[in-house]
Amino acid sequence: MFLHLLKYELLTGLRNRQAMFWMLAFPIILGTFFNIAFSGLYESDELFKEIPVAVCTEQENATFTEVMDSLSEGGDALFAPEYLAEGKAMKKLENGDVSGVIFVNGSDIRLSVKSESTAASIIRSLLDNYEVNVKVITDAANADPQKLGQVIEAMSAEISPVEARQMSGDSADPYVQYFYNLLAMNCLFGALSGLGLVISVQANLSELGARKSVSPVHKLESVTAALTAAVILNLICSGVTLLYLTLALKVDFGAPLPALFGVTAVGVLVSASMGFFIGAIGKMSEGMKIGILISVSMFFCFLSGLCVGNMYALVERYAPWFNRINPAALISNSFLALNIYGGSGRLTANLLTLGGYAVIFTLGGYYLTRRRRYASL
Amino acid sequence: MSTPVVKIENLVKRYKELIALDHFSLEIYEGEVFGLLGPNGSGKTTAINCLLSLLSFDKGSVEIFGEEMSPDNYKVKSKIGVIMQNVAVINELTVYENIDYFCGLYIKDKAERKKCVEEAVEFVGLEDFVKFYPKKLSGGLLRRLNIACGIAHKPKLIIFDEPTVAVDPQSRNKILEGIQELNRHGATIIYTSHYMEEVEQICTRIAIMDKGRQIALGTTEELKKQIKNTEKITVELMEQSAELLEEIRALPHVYEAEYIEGRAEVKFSGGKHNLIRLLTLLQQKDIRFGRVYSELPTLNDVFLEITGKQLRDS
Repeated sequence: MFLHLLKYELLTGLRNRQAMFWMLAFPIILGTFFNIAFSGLYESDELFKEIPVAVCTEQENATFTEVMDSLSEGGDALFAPEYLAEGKAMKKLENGDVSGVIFVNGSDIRLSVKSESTAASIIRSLLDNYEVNVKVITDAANADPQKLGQVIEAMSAEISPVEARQMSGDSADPYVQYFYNLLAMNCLFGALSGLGLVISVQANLSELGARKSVSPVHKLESVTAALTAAVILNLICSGVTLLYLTLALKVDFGAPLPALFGVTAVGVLVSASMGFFIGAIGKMSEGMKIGILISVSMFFCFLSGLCVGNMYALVERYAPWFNRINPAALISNSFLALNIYGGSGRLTANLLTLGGYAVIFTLGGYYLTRRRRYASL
Repeated sequence: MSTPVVKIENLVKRYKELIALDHFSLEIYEGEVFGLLGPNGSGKTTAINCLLSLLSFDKGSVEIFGEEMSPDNYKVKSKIGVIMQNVAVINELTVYENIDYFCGLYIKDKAERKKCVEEAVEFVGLEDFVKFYPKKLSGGLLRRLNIACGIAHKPKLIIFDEPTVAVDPQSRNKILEGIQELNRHGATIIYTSHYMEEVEQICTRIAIMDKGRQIALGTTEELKKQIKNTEKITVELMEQSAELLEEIRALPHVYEAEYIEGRAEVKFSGGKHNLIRLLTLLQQKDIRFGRVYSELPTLNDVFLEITGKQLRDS
């Protein structure tokens, strides 16, 4: 009987075009748009390109040439210098082929730019630093040549108030949070499936529910089959979305795929059981229940920072206990914990809390939908 | 009489101030096609829902097949088929899959179920539509699918709750013939409707309901015998006078006569050859007349006489 019910629940879910659009097509479309939008941002803001610069040398400055060469080498080169005659250099500057022209006349170094830009500022900053450092070293050498080594050492030392910490995940991508949100949203669609299953078995909410209620099938069996189907379908959709994001769009979540899928699965389980539980409460209409479910979900999502970036931190400061019980925060935080720490005590605690929610919601839903007569239909 | 298949005793169902069922009692026996007739809002569907343990009730008891009915009496539920007032099928499943799904709630064995589903498809005449989705079916075909889903498991008691609402005449006849055939195959039928012609056509016994109460019970003939009216004759008259009306009223067995829109409407209580007597009077008076109709009383007349209002329009 269970397999018969499960088979048709799965068939029904798979053929529900509206549900499949929201559970599968919509996240994929949204993910594609995110990817297009953020790829543009990477190119313009994040992926630094070498700054083209022309160098016109009237009198050689070996130190400067050495500095310039060191900044033009390797994969993280800052500049792409071209050593040209003044005429050609100015023409290139005029055409926008270079961001600036550096005139080197022994220790006298000057810069010419066509207009102010980020690239021009970086070149100017380099020249200013170069001149200051040269001046400091020269003055130190003149004042006390014995301390020259200490001065150079002090200048080389990196002083930072921030403590460096090893990340296990490689992704420092600031936009990956949006894709976490997308996965979390996909999980939340599971809540609507959970709600839908209650409506299809409750006689006071649908004719179909009435027909099922007069059949000799135990409510527990009927509900379990529908809940299992809802979870399976949501897992498939979330899995396909995850695969699409990682394999087709090459989104770097900074964690192994099975671990991401595991967190997604727990999220789906909690969402579906939450929808089931809310759907089973009271005798409200389907529309009212959907409204309550979306409101509750959005409340949790809002306070988890899915809508406003720093909300999670604010809640952590003023009511940290809420972040430990908010399902949306727990799901999102689990993805983050995977990325930043590669799994940790925090991830385990999150997953255990979410698992506890799934158990409580499912048992609560069963209790509310157990054998019943309705006061009105 | 044998043990009733359905026994409802003193059922009371209240919706706050409104009394939907007012000490409603009923006994239905094996092999009957039992009609529950009443205007919209009379309590028919509420009675059915209480019978099926879908609705709670304030007072009374319900027994089906000699057992108290409850939401978890699966033994009794397995013998019942229900055809709801509104179509209750799954839009994402084909005609065949829908019937198989609902039949599967009652029959576990695949081979047996397959046979039952195929017979149900044939029974409702949906052989050419098995791969269709419900949205592609016309209203009549959809009703037939709804019926197939309720009867495929061959229940011993079948409840039809207004199955012909918004159905074309051809499909309606098919449905009514089908119900009679199911009965011939041994099923006890409960048929609720506010269409008196349908109830008269197929039901062996009828309960008339109004305001949650049973106001009359019996076979069609028994119900008609409970009222004064035995024959109504309508004559289109070319001329009308108060004197003529008085003479009509003086005829034997006439208990009511009046002019309505150019016609004389005359009601008789008992007697034979009423039509001949009326026409003889008109001939004697040299009154020209047009069409003449003679009607036997209907269940509407029964309802009208008991409640003072029309069954269909109340």
